[in-house]
Amino acid sequence: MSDLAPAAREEAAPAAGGEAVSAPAVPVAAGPVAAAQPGARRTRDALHFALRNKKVVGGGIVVLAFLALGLIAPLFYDYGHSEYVGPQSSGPSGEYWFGTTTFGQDVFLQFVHGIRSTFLVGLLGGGLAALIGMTIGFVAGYVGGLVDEALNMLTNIVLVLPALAVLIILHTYIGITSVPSQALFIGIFSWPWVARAVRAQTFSLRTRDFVDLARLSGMGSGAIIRREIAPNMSSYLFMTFILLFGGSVLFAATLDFIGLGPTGVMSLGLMMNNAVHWSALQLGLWWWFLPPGLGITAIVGALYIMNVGLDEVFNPKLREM
Amino acid sequence: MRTRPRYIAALFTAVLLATTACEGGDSGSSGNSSNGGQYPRNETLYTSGSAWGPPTTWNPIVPGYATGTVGLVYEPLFIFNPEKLELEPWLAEKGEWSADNKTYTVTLRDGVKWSDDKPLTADDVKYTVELGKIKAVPYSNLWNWLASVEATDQRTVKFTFSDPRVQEWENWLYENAIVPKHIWESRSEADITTHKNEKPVGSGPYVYQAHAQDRMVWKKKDGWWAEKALNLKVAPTYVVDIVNSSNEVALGLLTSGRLDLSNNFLPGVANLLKGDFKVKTYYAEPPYMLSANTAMLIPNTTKAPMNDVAFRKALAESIEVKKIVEGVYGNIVKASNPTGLLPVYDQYVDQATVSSSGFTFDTNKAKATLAAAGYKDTNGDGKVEDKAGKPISLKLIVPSGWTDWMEAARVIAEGAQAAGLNIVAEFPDAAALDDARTAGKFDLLLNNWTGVSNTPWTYYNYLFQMPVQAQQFSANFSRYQNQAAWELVQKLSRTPSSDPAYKTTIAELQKIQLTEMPAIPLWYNGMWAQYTESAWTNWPSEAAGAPKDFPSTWNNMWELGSIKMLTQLKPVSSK
Repeated sequence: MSDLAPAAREEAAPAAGGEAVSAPAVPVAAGPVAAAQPGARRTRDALHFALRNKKVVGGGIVVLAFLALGLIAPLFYDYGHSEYVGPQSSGPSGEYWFGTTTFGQDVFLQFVHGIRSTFLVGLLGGGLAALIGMTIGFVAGYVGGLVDEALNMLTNIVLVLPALAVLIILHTYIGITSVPSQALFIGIFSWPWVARAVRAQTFSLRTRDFVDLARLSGMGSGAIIRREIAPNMSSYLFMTFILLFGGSVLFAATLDFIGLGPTGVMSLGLMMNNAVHWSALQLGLWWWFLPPGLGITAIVGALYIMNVGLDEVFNPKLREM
Repeated sequence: MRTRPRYIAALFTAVLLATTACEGGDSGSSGNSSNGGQYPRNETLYTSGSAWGPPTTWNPIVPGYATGTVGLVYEPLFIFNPEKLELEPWLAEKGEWSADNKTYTVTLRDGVKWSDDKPLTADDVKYTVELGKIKAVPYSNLWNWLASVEATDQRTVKFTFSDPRVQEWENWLYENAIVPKHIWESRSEADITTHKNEKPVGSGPYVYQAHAQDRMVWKKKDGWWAEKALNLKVAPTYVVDIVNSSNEVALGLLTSGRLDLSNNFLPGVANLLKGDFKVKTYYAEPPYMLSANTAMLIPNTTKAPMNDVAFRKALAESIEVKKIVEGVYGNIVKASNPTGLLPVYDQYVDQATVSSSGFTFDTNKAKATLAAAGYKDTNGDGKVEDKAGKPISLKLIVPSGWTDWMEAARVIAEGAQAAGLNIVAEFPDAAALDDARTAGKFDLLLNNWTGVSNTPWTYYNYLFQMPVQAQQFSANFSRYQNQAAWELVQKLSRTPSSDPAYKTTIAELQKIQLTEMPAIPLWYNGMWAQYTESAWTNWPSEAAGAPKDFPSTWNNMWELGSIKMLTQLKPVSSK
């Protein structure tokens, strides 16, 4: 019966109560033990299906391969990504795998440093957006009433803000000079759709019997959200994070490309920005702008394919096996 | 519930596509808009590189006019020949100082006419100079030292000075254009500087033909005075100046033959010149371009530690200019002489002073200079602290989007870091940077308002001008105060170039500049000029027999002889 639990977020799930009852009904001391078992089983099942889903495995391999490349490759270089090390504007060769820039910088080294920034901005930006969006969604959905109205208004306001325009203005006044600060701004502007989705889910879950039961047993609101509501939509939250991760990466690339990137570090968007500014296209230095473009496309594309695969894993209706 | 994430995913994919599409779209789309087909190609000169916005005003009194307004339409009394370092009579036939240097007499050429056929007379000159009495006119400070101007007859104007600043006056003579009194006198005082002057009536070889958002078109006028007087004939019937959208676009236009002369900084042009793109420059070898001005690193000397000369010296020693010249620019610029004097002034450089007090790149020497002055790394972070032990953290600002300077700023910061100075490069918006420079709210910045002129006086005035105001608009951005240097600058402006004191005063100023380092000269920015020979030949070049005029359409360059370039061009079809 716990197999049905992941689908609970979708349906009215009359059966889901059975799984949930066991957790809140028992005394606090026994609670974690009882709750752990279905949780572990659920994870095991998900893993079982995930490893047999080509989309998840394929996407995961691409993402992990890029991550490993970004983490490990820079360690083998004893010069920095902005140093003029090689001949100027030379094509890919055995020594400089992706060739060199107009100034003689190593494009491959810039590329792997760029991957680092890409993952960092995705992790921080996506993580922050997920945190804000979920918190607001849960609180609004669970508490309801005036709090819901207020939070909903905030969500709607941020939702209609033209994030790019606001970021351009912010950049002019404050200056976005590091990857974390860029991630912070991206995170602050990309959470609203998460908040709305989570709020709607919470709305539907909070009237279920097991939540009522938990409330009757004297659990605080925070604990109910954390231990009763969130676990029932954990798969959804996980997929949300993946989307936010990919979104942050693209947003950062857009900002970098139009020249609002961080200073002092290298990112894939900045590489493309530099390539355009130094006429790489007109002069035929394709090795300068193709790798970062393809890198971003590959990482984000793999994430989305993985997401579609995970959808199938978590939702039995979509399984093709 | 599912649809939203999918929708978002689709949206972001679209953003990605748009992002990548931008790269390709840039050159293609804007290239098409510049197909000027309505003028015969073999009679039309296409230029670009000076206008960054649509032409909106043709008023020669205030800067911001359409490319060529001064130069092609309005002309000065003299033009300056940077090769010989002397003024050449233009509208004037001659100009003479009186024996005591108190008065200057200009004799106008006979038969010069405005484009509405009225003669250009001494009254027009007197009227133009007296416009300077209006405070809003840029040359109003002329009247601080000019006492009176008098038209003694139709062709003679006599200027009487209360303070004869010979150098400054000669600078005025070729930098300012004469306007027709019969048209301008009906305008109110406010109108003089704000009027758009849509139908410019000038004395020059061209008249207004048309303009659009992306171009300015001039048409040749019959009977330009110089055809008879100097036997000079401008070759192109039409001059079409294309408004820049970006330098990369100009590169595309140039390589496809839709542009004859590009005065843009073309990023990566060094590759273009090495390759076979049929693009020509003044020199066939590095540095390819003539030097136009000196790029200076400006320290704000009102702030610590930039107020310490030892610190400024160490900073100068930490910068590897060679790396900027070769790495960033691909050798299209030259490293500056430590004095910052442009190559055209080489004869004035005092080599003895340069070798004794000049600076060269040497990281270890920079470290030693810092240590000797009391800057030590006390907290062990690899960067020196100030004399009180507080960490130093400085910003070098360069306008965002000025790609070559941004890259150069990174190299400067890197060099400083290597010497233990914690300097980072930052790229604020150009307008924000203008404010910071004017108000003195910065640590370090780059500036190059040190262009070629008739006299090194303009350069030293730029360095040492006093008094330092709350707002510094055009000079002394370092806010450096040195009364002795300022007095020398004023003395220089009163000394004729033939006087032996001229050279010795310049030498004294060099000594002060090299020991005090109010600003650090880095490299000579090029007079960017790339041309193709698809429609016009006989471009200026170093080659024997080729014209030696400045190949530039930038404002202020016409008066430095660029106008003569137009008279030397030859259409390809008649070769």
